[in-house]
Amino acid sequence: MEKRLENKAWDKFSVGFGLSFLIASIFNGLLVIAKESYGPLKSSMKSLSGHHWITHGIFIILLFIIFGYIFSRTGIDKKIDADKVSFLVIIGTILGGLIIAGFFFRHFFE
Amino acid sequence: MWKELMTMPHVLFGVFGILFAVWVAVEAVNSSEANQRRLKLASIGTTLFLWLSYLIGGWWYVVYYGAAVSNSDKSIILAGPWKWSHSFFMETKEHLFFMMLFLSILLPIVTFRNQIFKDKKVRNLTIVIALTIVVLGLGMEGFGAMISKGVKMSLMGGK
Repeated sequence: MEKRLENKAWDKFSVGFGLSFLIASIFNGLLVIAKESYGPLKSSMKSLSGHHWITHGIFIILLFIIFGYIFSRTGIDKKIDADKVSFLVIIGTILGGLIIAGFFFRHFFE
Repeated sequence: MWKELMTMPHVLFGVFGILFAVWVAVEAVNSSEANQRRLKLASIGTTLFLWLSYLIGGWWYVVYYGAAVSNSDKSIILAGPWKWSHSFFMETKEHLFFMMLFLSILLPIVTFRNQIFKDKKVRNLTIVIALTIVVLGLGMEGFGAMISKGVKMSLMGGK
């Protein structure tokens, strides 16, 4: 068995932010659906920064960082190894991508 | 002219981000104590270039692309036959990009806070993150090409 980090557990921030990637990617897609489907939400996002996409970006990046930090403090590194984080990254990418691309795909038929 | 030229750094830095992510994957595959410095350098380079691409592209998108004037790219596309080059490709691209930014933050966390060469699972994670950035990045490049083609189709009258 390989020795990890001179007998330390593997890094808690790598796990926390890996898990946060999955959550933030899904939330990113759901926020797209919400703001595109509900005009007042998009308008209020626009009023916050001048453009809904800027607000979207600030919100979702902060969410990723805050969730990553919170998850890192929960001792989750003892339960999830790097292989599982790899899986979370792949699943997060597929789900996040499918939600967004799937939602806008309808425009091909308009 | 300024407006057109300023689309170039977005694409250029995006390509650099992809190339640096490939470099990270190669260093991780061949990971040893000797190449840790290069691995960290490549991962920081990936982050830096992707964020530069995002900030410059985002600025161009907000100020020029979607401007409420008849000669903005968005207006030109929506007046032509390939409306979906905006309503699918641009809309998808501008939101998928955020996932690449998440990964560009995660990548240096993994490379700086773990000793990649000591743990095969962490090494594989580094490769997965880097290659996911490459795949998403190539997708962004392709989507960008379709958006440009949408403008061209409008200006050529759909022929």
